[in-house]
Amino acid sequence: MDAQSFSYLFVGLSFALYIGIAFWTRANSTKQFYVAGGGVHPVLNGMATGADWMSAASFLSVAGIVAFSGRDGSVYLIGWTGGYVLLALLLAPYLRKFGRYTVPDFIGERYYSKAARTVAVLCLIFISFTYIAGQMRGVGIVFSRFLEVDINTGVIIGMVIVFFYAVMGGMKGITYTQVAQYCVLVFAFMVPAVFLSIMWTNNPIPQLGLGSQLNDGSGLTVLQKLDQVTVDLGFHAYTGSIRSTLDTLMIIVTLMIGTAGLPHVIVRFFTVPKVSDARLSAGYALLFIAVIYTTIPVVAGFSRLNLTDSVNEVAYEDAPEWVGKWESTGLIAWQDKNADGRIQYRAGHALVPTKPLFTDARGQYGQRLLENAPSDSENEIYVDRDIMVIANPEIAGLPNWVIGLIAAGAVAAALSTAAGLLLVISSSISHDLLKSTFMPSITDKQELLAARLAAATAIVIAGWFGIHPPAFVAQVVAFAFGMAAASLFPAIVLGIFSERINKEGAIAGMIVGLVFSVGYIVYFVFINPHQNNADFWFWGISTTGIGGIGAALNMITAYTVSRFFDAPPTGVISLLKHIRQP
Amino acid sequence: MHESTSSEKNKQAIADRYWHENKKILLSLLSLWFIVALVCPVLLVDYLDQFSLGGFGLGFWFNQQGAILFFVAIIFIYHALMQRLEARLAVEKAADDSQAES
Repeated sequence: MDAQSFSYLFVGLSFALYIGIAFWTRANSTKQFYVAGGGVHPVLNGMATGADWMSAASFLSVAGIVAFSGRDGSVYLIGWTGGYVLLALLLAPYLRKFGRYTVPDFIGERYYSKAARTVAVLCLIFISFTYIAGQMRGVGIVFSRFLEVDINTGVIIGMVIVFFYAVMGGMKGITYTQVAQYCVLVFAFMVPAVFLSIMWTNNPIPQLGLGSQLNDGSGLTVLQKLDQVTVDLGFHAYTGSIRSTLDTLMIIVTLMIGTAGLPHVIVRFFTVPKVSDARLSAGYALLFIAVIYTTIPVVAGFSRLNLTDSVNEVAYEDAPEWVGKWESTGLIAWQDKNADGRIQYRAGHALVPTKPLFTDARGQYGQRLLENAPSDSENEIYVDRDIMVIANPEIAGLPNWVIGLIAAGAVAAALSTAAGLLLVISSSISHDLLKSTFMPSITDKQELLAARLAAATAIVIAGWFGIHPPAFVAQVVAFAFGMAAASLFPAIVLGIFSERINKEGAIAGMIVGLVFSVGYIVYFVFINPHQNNADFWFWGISTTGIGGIGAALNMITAYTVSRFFDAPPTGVISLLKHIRQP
Repeated sequence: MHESTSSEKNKQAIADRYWHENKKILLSLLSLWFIVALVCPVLLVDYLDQFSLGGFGLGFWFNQQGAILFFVAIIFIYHALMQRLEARLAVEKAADDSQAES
């Protein structure tokens, strides 16, 4: 069977499984719809959280980022896992004890204010839609590359599947589907990594393989070889760094506290039976995530070696088949600057502008010709970072069924995250805006209907974003983390650990943190993109790292403003005493 | 009547102790978290790279594997410590209750 048939088979089987689960786990009450009845086993919740967390971006892109930036790519590995420590120690147990359905629920009750609740809902909706646009796009991309259907058709198929289990089953359906999706995606991610590790080092455990000696008889270890290859070609050493220390620190901090402040992750810990389960479940969640996150740098390192090995100084006509294939999708481009017919892979951008602009014509070797001007660099090849995971099996010459497996894994990663996000959007609308703020008289049944309608509407909007992606999807990921870090996380943590923070302080803090972070990102990404470099940044902190400063400003503001207003009422103090006990 | 208020007081004292102990545990584990998330992989990376672990420079290892493994350990340690604390205070509470009854 060829790779495409395998992809159809695996994706089809996984879809059948998800739909089966949807029928088996229908939700009958709002409690089941919002928090799966609060009866999910901690290990299963950990798996579901793992699938929730592994988005299309972490499945497809992070390995690519690490492959091309070496140690500097580690900020994503550390940042997107370290947040779970904060979640387990500072948030999950107390929010579980609080025992309601949503994050704005807590903020609204703790700060005894509908205004605070509404601010939280707005943050949540903006964060979640930012995130979801990328997921639907990811589904579309996988469909178009592996199954060769149109991207829009791919997005619509994805919408229909999510619609089934998210609208019917709510959190209950999503949880059990995510458990299945975790199994699919961990298998899909590990299999190629094991193959790669054996291929280069004979070591079947990928995490150890990255440190092992190469089996080519050179006597070098994998990392020594990576350093040697990258330095020879003019890159910075793979295990070295070119980012400033302060910026690296701030990016890690922002990603960590942003992770802990993401509503679709927090809400997963509302679904376990008791407080101690929330702690334990966070541990399992991170364990399941760590299996994949410690494999990502392995895939990154080996694919960088593979890439260099198979293209550098190779004549275009003799290049492996995948080069032409990815060139035809526009993700690889080659410009023969020195007219020797060979591909030179060096440091620096190959093209001006950096993204390839293809003409319809073919060159003398059959390569696609470009409108781009050549850059000063000797580098002749453009490689899109996102293809590293997808193209890896082909680059490494792995069997066809592995390619089909990656397709199913990538779709699982994108769908599971999209479903988790859809749920927090729909519950914040039906529960926080309707039931708790504007229409308190509706019955449980009506609220459940409203939640389903909100989920359906959110799916349609998300699909629209997937088909008409805003041009800035890649840049706005910084938004989601910056906003979560600067707004929700400080408000929740201060709300649990301080008795003195009142509603005036909390609202002022959220607004200051948010306006500062969003303002900084908007200024550099949209208003003045040509200044978006370390020379102009505040203390050399990039837009990805600014949320940490926003969070600090949020806390300082909340403390200061709280001093000028009355302490919270006694009801809130007894609520605090209640959630602080197990 | 008198006994029940003193038992209330005891309960409050146990609750306060729980929160206090919890904060102490949090502080020490968060310090460890700070060290493995920021100090080892970023601030001390060049120093640690002199040492080698399984073919990795130690600083680089913290960047790509070590920090993540420590994070997992921290959460499970927190869970274990809290379970122990809760069990200990539950025993005291039970002793206190039986005293109040008798």
